[in-house]
Amino acid sequence: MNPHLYIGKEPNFNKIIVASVILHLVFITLITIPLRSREREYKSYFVNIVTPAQIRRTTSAPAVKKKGKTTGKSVKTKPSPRRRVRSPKGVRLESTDRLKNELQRMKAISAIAKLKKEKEEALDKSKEEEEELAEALEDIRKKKQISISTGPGAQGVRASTKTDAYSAVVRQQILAEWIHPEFESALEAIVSFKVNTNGDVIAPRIIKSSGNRIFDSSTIKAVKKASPLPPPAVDEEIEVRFHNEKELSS
Amino acid sequence: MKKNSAVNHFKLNYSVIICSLLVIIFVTAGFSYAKIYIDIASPGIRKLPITIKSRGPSKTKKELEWIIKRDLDTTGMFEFVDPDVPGGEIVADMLVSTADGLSVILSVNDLIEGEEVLKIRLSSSKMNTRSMAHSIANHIYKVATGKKGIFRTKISYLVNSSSGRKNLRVMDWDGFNSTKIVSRGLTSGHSWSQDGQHLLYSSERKRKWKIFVRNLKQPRETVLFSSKGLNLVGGTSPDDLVSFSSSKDGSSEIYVINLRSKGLKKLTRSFGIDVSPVFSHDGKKIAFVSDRGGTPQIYTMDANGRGAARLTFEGPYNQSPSWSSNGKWITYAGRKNGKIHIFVVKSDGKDLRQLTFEGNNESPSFSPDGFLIAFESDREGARGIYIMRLNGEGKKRITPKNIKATAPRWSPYLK
Repeated sequence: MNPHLYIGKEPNFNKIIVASVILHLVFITLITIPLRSREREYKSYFVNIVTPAQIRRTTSAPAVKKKGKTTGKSVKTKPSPRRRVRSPKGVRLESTDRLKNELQRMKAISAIAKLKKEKEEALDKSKEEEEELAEALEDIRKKKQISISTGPGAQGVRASTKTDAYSAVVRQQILAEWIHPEFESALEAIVSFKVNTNGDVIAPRIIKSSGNRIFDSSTIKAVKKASPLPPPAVDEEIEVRFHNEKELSS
Repeated sequence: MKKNSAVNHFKLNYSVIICSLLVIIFVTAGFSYAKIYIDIASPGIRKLPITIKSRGPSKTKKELEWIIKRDLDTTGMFEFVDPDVPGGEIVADMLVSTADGLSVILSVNDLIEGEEVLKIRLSSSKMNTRSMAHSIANHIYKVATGKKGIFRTKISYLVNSSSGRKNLRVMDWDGFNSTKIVSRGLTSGHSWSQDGQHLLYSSERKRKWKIFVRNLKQPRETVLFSSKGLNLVGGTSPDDLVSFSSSKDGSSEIYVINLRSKGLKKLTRSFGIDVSPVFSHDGKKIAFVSDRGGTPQIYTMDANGRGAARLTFEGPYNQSPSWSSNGKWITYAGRKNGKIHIFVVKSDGKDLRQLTFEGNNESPSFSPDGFLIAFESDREGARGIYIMRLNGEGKKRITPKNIKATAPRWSPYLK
C-alpha cells in the first residue's frame, strides 16, 4: 500500500521541479535587477564629448606637425601631395571598398605629384625629402598602432560613442530647458522616461525624489519641455540624474 | 510501472526543455536591454518665464500688475512674458474687482504640467492696492519657488531732518508707504523685535541716551533702559532679549536686556570698545564690533558672552554686522581703498565677497529670507537706501533722492 502510494506521487515530483525552477528564475531576476541598477553610471557631458575629440586629436596631430614643417620649407604646392603620398599607406590598413577607390585616386594624384616634384626639385633637396618620408612613415606606424589598438574592440567602441553622442544631445536638450530657483542645499533627483522612435518623451516620472517638491517638478518639466528629443533607432529608456551644485545662497 | 516511468521521463525532459527555454528568455531579456543614463548638473539660476495678466478696472489692474512685476523682478528669478506671446511657463491670472473694497481672484496655472497650481481669493475692505499687490506677489513667489516671499516686509531707517535731527521712519521694503515713528531728539541704533510688532531704538532726550520700545500699532513709546553714557541698540533675539552697547561704566561694552523682565546682563569686559551687537536669528550667537585687536573688526561670540572669536581680518576698519536668517552669512561694511563697501562672509570666516564697488556703502541689513540686502550708499550723491541681491546684483535705490536716508534695518516676516 505504502510503496504504491509513493509511486503514484511521482508526477507531482516533476511539477515540484518545474515550480522550483520557475521560482528560482523569479528569484534570480529579482536579484539581478537591483544589482544591475546599482551599476548605473550616469554619464556627464564632459565624458561624452571629450572622448571622441581626444581620439580625433591624436590622429590628426602628426598631420598638423608635418604641415608646419613643409610650409617652413617655402614650397607651397608640396604639402598636399606629400600628405597624399602618406595617406594611402595609412589607409591601406582599413581595406573597405570606398577606401580602395579613394586609394587609387590618391595614388594617381600622388604619382603626378611625384613627377612634378622630381622636375621641380634639385637633387640636394631629395635627401631632406627622404628624411621627411621616413618621418611620415613613422607617423603612419604610429597611426597603425592606434588603429590596431582600437581594432579588436572597434565595434564596441563605435557603439558606445554612438550612444554617447545620443545621450550628449539628449542631455544638452534637457539642460537647455531646466529652470529652477535657488536652493539652500545640494539636491538630487532621478527622472526616468521612455523615448519612442518619434522622439516623444513618454511617461516621465521621478524614481528618486530630491525631497523638494519644487526641485522635483522642475526636473520633470525640463524633460517634458525637451520633448521631442532626437528620435532613436529603437525605443529607449532613459534615466537622468539632476543635481545642483551648492550655490551661493542665504 | 515501466510505462509509467517512461512517461515520467518524458515529462521530466519536457519540463527541463521548458525550463531551459525560460532561462534563456529571462537572461537575454535581462541583459540585452540597456538603459541610457545621463547626468545633468544644474545650469545655475535661470529666469522662469512668467505671464501676468488681469481683468477688471483698467487703472487698478495695471497698478497691481506693475507692483507685482516690480516685486518679482527684484528677486532676479523671473522673466516676464507678454500675455499675447507664448512662452510663459507659469501664468498668473487676476480677476480684479473694486465693487466692494478691493478683491482679486488669483489663479496660477502651470502650462508645462497643464494644471492649476493655485486659486485663491484675496480681498480687503480698503483700496490698498500696494498691500494687495505684495500679497499676490508673495503667493506667486511661493508657488514658483516654494519659498516665502518678503514682499510684505518693511524697512526701518533714519532720515536727517532739516533741523539737524534724525527721525526714525518705517517704509515698505520697496520704499513706499513711509511712515514716521519717532521725530523727537536724535535717534540712532534701532532694531525690529523678532515678532515684527515692536521697534527698539536709542534716542537722546534731554541729553540722555535712552533705549525705547514701541509697539507699531500704538503711538506710545516706553523706556526700556536708561543710564549715563551712550546706549545704542544692536539687535533682538527670538527669546525677547535686546542686545545693545553702553558706555555707562566708561568704555563701551555689550549688554543684553530682557524685554519683559528688564533683566540686564553684561557680556563683554574688554579694554577696547565693543559696539553693534546683533543676534543671529536663532538667538544663539552674537556678532559685534570690537577694537580689542587694534582696529575695529567683526567678532562673534555665544549669546552668553563666551567664546568670542575674530571673524574679519581684511581691511583696517570693519563695522555694522548683520546675520542672514539661516546664520550662514554675515554682511558688514568695511573700508577698502579709502571707501566703505559692503562685504559678505560665511559665519566661519570663509568665502569673503565684496558686493559694492561704487561710492561709500554702509549699514547692510539682510532681508528675512536672506536673499536681499538693504544698505545705505552715497553712490548717486545724497545718501539713500538701496537694496541688492546676495550676489551683489540688482542694486536699486528705494528712497527718494531729496531725502537723506540712512541705516536701514529690514523687518522680520510680517503678517
